[in-house]
Amino acid sequence: MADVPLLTLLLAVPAAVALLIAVMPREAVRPIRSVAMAGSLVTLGVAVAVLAAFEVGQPGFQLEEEVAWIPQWGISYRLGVDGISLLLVALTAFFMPLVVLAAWHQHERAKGFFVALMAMGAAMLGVFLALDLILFYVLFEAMLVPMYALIGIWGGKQRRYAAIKFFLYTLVGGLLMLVAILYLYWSAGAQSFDYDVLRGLELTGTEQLWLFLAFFAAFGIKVPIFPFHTWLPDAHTEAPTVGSVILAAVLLKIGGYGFLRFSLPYFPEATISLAPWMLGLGVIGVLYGALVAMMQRDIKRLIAYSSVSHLGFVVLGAFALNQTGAAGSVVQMVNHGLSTGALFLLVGFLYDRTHERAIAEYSGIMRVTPVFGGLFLITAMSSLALPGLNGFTGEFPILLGTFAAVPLAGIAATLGVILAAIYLLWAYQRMFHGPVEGRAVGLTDLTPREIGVVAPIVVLMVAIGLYPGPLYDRVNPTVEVLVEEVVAVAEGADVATVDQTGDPAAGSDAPIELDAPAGSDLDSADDDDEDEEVSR
Amino acid sequence: MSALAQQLPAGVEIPEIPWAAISPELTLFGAGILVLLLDTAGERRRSASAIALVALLGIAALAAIPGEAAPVVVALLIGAGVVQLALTLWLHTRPRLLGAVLTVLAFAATIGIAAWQYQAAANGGPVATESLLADMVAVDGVALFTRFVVAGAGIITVLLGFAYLQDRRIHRGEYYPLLLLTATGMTLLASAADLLMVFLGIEILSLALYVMSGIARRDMASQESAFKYLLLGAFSSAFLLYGIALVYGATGTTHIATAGAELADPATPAGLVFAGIALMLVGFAFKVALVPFHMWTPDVYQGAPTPVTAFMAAATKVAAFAAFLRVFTGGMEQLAWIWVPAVSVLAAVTMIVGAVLAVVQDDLKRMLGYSAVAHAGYAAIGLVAVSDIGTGATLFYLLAYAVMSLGSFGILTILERRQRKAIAIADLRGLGQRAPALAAMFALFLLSLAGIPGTVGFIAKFGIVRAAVDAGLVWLAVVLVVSSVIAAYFYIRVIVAMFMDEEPAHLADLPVPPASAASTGVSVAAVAVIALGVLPPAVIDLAERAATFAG
Repeated sequence: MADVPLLTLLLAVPAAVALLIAVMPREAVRPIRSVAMAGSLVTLGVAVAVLAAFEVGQPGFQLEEEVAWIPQWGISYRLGVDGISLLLVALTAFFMPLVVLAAWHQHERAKGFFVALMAMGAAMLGVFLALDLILFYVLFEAMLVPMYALIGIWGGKQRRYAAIKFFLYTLVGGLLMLVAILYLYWSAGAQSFDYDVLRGLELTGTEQLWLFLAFFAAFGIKVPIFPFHTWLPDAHTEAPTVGSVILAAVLLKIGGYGFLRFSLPYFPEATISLAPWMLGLGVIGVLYGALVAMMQRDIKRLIAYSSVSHLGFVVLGAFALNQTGAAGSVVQMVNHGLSTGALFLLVGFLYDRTHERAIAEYSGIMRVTPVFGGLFLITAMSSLALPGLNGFTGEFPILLGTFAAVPLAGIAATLGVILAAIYLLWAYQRMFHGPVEGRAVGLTDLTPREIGVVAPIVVLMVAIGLYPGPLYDRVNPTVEVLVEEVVAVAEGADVATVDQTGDPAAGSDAPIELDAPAGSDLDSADDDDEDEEVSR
Repeated sequence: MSALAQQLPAGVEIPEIPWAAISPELTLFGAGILVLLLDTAGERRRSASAIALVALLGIAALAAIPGEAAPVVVALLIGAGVVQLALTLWLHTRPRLLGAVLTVLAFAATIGIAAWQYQAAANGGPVATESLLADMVAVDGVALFTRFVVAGAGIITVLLGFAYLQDRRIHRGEYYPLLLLTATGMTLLASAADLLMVFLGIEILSLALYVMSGIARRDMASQESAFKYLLLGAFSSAFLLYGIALVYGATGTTHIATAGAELADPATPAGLVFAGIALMLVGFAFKVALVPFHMWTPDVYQGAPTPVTAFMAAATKVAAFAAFLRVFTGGMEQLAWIWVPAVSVLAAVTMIVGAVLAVVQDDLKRMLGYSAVAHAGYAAIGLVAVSDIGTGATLFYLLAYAVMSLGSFGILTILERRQRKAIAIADLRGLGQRAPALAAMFALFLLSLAGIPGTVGFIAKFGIVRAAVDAGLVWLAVVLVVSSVIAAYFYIRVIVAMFMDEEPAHLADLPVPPASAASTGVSVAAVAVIALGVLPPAVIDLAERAATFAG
C-alpha cells in the first residue's frame, strides 16, 4: 500500500476522466455519464483507501508525496493530508458520485457539463492536498474556470451576471494572496514555496498584519465573510443544482480550510491581534445571514443565506483560538457540506419538476410527496443543528469554544442557532404544511434515483449525529498542535493586544478543561448528544 | 573556427566572416531571395533557375568556407539542392504552395541551426557567445532564443495564412519573400552588438512589414494600416537614429558595450548622455508599443491582414524587446538610474492604459491590439529589473506571448474566413455550440492571456512578478496584478459570448470551419500553451540560460 501514490491517484483519476470525456463524441451522452460515474466511484474508492491508510492520532502530514516541479523557482509538487484536510478530502470525494447521479438526466451540453464537473473535482481535491503554496494557488485558481462555466452555461436567468461576479471576486482575492505568497517567498530567503519552509518564518508584526489581510482577501471572499458575501447568493441562486451543491458542499470550505491551514500558523501574532475582529465578523455573519435568510421569498436564496450564517460559525471556531472551537469548525465544515448540499439537491429536484423557486407558490407538499417532505425535514433539522443529527456536533463545540474565548460572542452566536430554527421551520411550514395548493398540486414524489442521491447523505447525517467520535479523533491531534503553536505566540508576546482578545487565559485553558485525555472532548460532546436524545 | 574570434585584431580592414554564427540569417535571407526568384521566373523557367541558383550558391560556399568543414557543408548543400529541385519540379505549377513549403523549410532549418548553435555554445564549441564580425553581431543567449521564437512563429504564420490569403485573393508572390526578409531583420536585430546593426535590423524588418501590412491592396483598412505603420515607423526610426548619433557624438563609438561604458564615464557630457538615452528610449518604446508611443498599434493590428498581424504581434515584439534588452539592460546597466525610473513609469502606464482601452473594444482584432499593448507593459518589467532573472523572465514572457497571440489571431483568421468579415464580439455568439473545439482553443488562449494558472500565460506572468519583487519593484508587480484583473474582464467577455449566448440565425447557416492548415497551426499553439503551462522547467531553463549578453 505504501508504494501506491494514493494522493496523486486521487487527483489523477478525476483529471484523467475529464480528459477522457473531452475526447468522447458529444452525442454519446450515456457513455459519457457512465464514464463520469465510474470515475467518481473510483475517486471515492481511492479516498476510502486514504481514510484507511491515515494513521489516527498523528498530528503531522501523512501519505506525503513530493516531486520537483519548477526547480528553478523553488516550486514543487507536494501533497499530503493531515487532520484538517482529511475530512474535507473525504467529503469532496463523497459528493462526486452523488452529483453525477443528481445530474444523470443532464442532456443539454452534457459533455461539457461532465468535463467541468470532473475537472472541478480534481482541482478541489488538489486544493486540500497541496503542500506547496504555488501548487495550492494554481489549483485554487484552476477551480475558477469550471465553476464559472457551470454557473455561466448551465445556470438560471441571471447566470452571466452571477458567473462574472463570482469570477472577478475570486480572482481578485486570489491575486492578492499570490502577491502575499511571493512576499513570503522572498522574505523566506529559502527560495522555496514549500508549506513547512514558509511556516517557520520570522515575520514582524506589521508584515504579519498585511500578509494576513492579503490571505484574508482570498479566504474571506471564499467563505464568505460578511461584507464580502454578496457574490454568494447570486452564484448559488443562478447555478444549476449540481453547481450549488459543489459550491456549498466543498468550494466554500476552502475559505475555512485556508484560515486553519495558512492564516493561523503563518501569522500567529496577526491572528491574535485580529481575532476579536474576526470573531465580530463571524458573529455578524451568523446573525446577518440568518436574518436575511428569514426574509427570502426564494427557497434557493434562503438556503444560500443560511450558508452565510452557518459558515460564520466556521470563522468563529477558527478564531476562538482554542482546540474545541477549531476542531468544531473543521467538523462544522463537513456538516454544513452534508446538510446544505442535501438541501440544494432537494430544492433542485423540486425545481426540476415545477421550475419555480418561490416559497409562496407552494403549500402542502408533505401530503403530496411524503418521501420528499420527510427527507427535507430531516435535512432541515440537520441544518438547524438539532441534537442527534450532524449539525449539532459541529456547532456545539464551536459555541463552547467561542464562549470560552469571548463569552459575549458565544452568546450572540447562539442566537443564530435559534434564528436558523425559525427561518428553516417557517419555510418548511409554509411550503410543506397546509392545504395542497399552488405548484404543489400534482407534484410527483422522488424517483428511486433521486432518493439514491440523498439517502447516503442522510445516513451520514444520522451517523455523525450519533457518533462523531471518529471525526474528532482524526481532527483533534492536528488542531491541538496548531492551536498550541498560536497560543504559545500569544503567551510569548507580552503585547497589550492580548488583553483585547477578551480573556486569553480562558482561551488557552479551554482545551485542557475539555480535553483531559486526547479525544475525550469528543466523548463528552457525544454524551451530550445522547442525553438530548434520551430527554426527547 | 573557434579561433576566429581570437584572431580579430583591431583595425582589420576586412573582417573574417563567421559563417557558422550568422548562418540562420543567411538561411532566411537566401531562402527569401530564392523564393522571390522562383516566383518571378515564370512556370517554365522555374526549374532551370533553381538549378542555376543552387550551383551558384554551391560555388560561392566552397570558395568562402575553409578546409575542414568543407565536406559537411558540401554534403548539406547538395542535400538542400536535391530537395529544392525535387520541390520545384513537383510544385512548379503551384508557385504559392512552393513558396510556402520553401518558407517553412527555411524556418525549420533556422530552428535546426539555432539548436545546433545552442548546443555548441553550451559546450564551448565553434559558436562563440561573444562579439563577431568586427563587433557588429553577437550570437549570445538572447540572440539564440530570439531565433527560436521568430522561426517558430514564422512556421505557424505560414500555416495560418495560406488559405486565408487565398480566400481574400491577396496571396501574392512577394508575401513569402517578405516574410523571410522580415524574419531576417528580426534575427539580425536580436543579435546586434552595435547600434548601427540595431538600426539596420529594425529597418530591414520594418520595410518588409510595411509592405506586408498593406498587401491587401483593395482594402482601405489595410492601406491605412500600412501607411500609419510606415509614417510612425519612420518617425520612431528617426528618433532612434538621432539618439544613436548623439551617443556616437558623446562616445565616439556605436558598439553597444563600449558606448555604454563610455556613457557611464562622468567625463562624458551629461547633456548628450541624457538626450541620447531619451531619444533611443523613445525609438524603442515606439517599436515595442509602450504607452504613450502605442498609438499605431491598434490601427495597424486591426487593418493588416490577420496572419500578418499574428506575425507582427508574436515575432516583432520578441525582436524589438531583444534589442531593447541588449541596448538598455545589457549595454547601459551602469546608467540604470537614468532609464529605469522612466521605463518603469512607461511600463506601469502601459499596463493600465492597454487593459482599460481594451475593455471598451468590440472588434476583436482591435481588442487584441490593445491587449498587446498591455502585454508589452508586462514584458517591460523584466527589462527594468536589470538582472539575469529579469532578462530571463522577459524572454520567457515573449515566447509565451508569441504562442498565445499566434493562437488567438490564428483563430481569428479561421473565423474571418468563415464569416468573410472582421470579427466583433457579437459574431462569436454560440460558437461554443457550433464549433466546440475551435471555441475551446480560443478560450484557452484568452485564459492564458489573462494569466489563469494551468496555462503558459500564468507561468510567464509569475516569472515577471518574481523578477519585479526580486528587484524591489513590488509596486510594478501590484500594477501588473491590477491590470490583469481589468484584462480578465474583457477576455472573459469573449468567452461569455462564445459559450453562454445563443447563436443568432445568420451565423447558424454558415458552414463549420473544416480542419485546415490554419487549424493545425492553432492546435500547435494550443498544445504549447498547455505544455508550457504545466511543465515549463525545460524552457524556463532555456530562457534563464539565454539571459546572457555578449561582453
